[in-house]
Amino acid sequence: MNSQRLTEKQFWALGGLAVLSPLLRLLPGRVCALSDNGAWLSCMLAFLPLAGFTLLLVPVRKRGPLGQQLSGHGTGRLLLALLTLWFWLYGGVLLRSGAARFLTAMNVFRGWLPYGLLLLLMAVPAALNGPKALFRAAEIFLPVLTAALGLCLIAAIGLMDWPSLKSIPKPGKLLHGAVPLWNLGCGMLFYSGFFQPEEPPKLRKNLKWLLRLCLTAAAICAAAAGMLGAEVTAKLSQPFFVMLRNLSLSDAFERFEALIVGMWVLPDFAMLAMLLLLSRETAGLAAKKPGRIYVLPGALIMLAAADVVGKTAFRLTLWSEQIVPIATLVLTISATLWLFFHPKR
Amino acid sequence: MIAPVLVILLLLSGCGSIWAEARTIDALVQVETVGLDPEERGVALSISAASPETRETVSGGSIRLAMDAMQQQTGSAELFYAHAKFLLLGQGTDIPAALDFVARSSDMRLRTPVVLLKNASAAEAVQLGGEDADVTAMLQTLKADMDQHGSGHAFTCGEALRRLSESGCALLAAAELEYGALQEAGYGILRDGICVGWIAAEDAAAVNLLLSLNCRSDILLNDGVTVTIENSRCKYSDGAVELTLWAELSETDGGVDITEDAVRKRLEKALSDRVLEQIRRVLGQCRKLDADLFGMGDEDVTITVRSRITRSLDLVAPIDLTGVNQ
Repeated sequence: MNSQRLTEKQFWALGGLAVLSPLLRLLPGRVCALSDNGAWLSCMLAFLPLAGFTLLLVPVRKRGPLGQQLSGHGTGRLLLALLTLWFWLYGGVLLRSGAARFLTAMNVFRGWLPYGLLLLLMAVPAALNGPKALFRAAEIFLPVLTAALGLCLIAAIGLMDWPSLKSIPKPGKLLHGAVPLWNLGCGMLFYSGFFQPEEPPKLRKNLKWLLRLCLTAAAICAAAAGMLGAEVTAKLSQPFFVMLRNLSLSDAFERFEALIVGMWVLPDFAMLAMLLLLSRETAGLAAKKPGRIYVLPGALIMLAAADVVGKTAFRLTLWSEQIVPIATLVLTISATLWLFFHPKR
Repeated sequence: MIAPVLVILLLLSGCGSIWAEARTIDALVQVETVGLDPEERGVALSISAASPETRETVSGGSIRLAMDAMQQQTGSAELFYAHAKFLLLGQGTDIPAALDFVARSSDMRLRTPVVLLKNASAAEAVQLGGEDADVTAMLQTLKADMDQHGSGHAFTCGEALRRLSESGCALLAAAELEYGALQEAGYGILRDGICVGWIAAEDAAAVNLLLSLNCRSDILLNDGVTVTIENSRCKYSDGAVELTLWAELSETDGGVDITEDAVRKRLEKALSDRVLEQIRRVLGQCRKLDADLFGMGDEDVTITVRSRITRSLDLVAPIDLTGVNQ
């Protein structure tokens, strides 16, 4: 994708901002359900398979943006078409799960459509404009979100039952608990491979970003399991925001979950705009006709997908906790392996 | 691009949101204490609020229906449960249903302390007090007393849920109505969500020691000596409980010289024996009720209590008040 001189910092900022959207969809609830009080350790363990995936991906990315490489083969173009469909479907799931998070945490019992439309109203122009503006926005928004998240985690420290975090489950459970973060990391690394920063990708910077992701995820899981207990965390629909509801800064500032969930619209926007940009790129390369024409239909398909996947909260959970993670892992790993063994000539 | 994003965000969030459910604080009644009692056909909901002063009880088929009925009964001002300070459960209340309600509710919080009433109903409790001190003020005092004197601990809804989900057993602070006020009554023991028994107020300190909660408590030993436990450490491993206490001599009849090793050792042994006796009573009660509150399982445990009296406040040795030495 035409990078329009993306800096390395902007490149990682978008990855960091966008990943925060699905992060709170799967963490801490899903990880606690899989690995109980060892959820924090599972997040740290996810670093190992993610590092392995990076070792595979970085040499591929050094050859150029992934989209360009895939377009050089017939099978590659088929993969691009498949990825386009995937980006639209995934966008739909994100749109609906973002709306569910927002509406549940804000205690608003209304339809999701206004949220979906407003989010697309932000994301479509961003995707039409190209990546530069989106990356610049990410560079500005990420520190704000990081500071907010950091403050919440600090406020949780005093309310945690630290000894409970020492009860570590068996290795099998721990590894199973690493899967949600593994899927998120693989997805973000692979998707960002379609963009190309000024400098060629470096293994060290990839690993540094992954380490930060795993540490952040571990801190979120530890805070929630330490405060609410792994069993209760696993049963809550939005455990992170329930945790926030119970936080207080010196008894002077409390009930700030609405503020934080409002801020979490930014990662939703970044992820959605990124998916629209990616689908614009992959659709253009697959059809050998690049252009902006794919953005609006893509947005409409996302809207339709959001309606289908979220008919009930239970169906949305199935999509976001089972179907999407498995599909992400299968798609990203198989596409990376295929590119690794089929370099463009 | 950033400016339009921020403008659209304004539409989504805050009081000017497109979902605008903004309410002015004047139009809200801030419910401070929520009480629940069992009823033949559902539940009785009691609330206490300070401004405007509200003390009401209504019945409903469920907690939610009772809340709706309460809203209708209290008129135009909207009842606001988001900052409730206490959850008061009358004896016989369906505790799992109450905890499930709090966990599910987007208004109430899991950090809300729960107090279980012994031989009393929440409906009676919310009517306590006059203009200066309502039930919330009494509960705040009760909680502060428990924290200061180690005579209990107000576990929150979240803590109760957590302990029940982990071991099937939990404790809730208990209170009873006496002389028109709320008095500490130790702990209510929950097993599988049901209150199966009580730990007396005089043994609540032993529970706190075993759970490493606030341990500060005053203990009257023989010979008119009172010691105050200042710190403690409880270790449990391989069927053995090792409890170490650090205490100070806080009151005597004037004739105890703690600088003498023999006297200090005698007092330390008396303190250890007293605490050991309390712990045995608590563990015996738990065993009788088949409630493993301390994660010790069914095995017999060896309990060792070691006490150290480390200081005697401002007075090192007794002052001779007879004037004989002058």
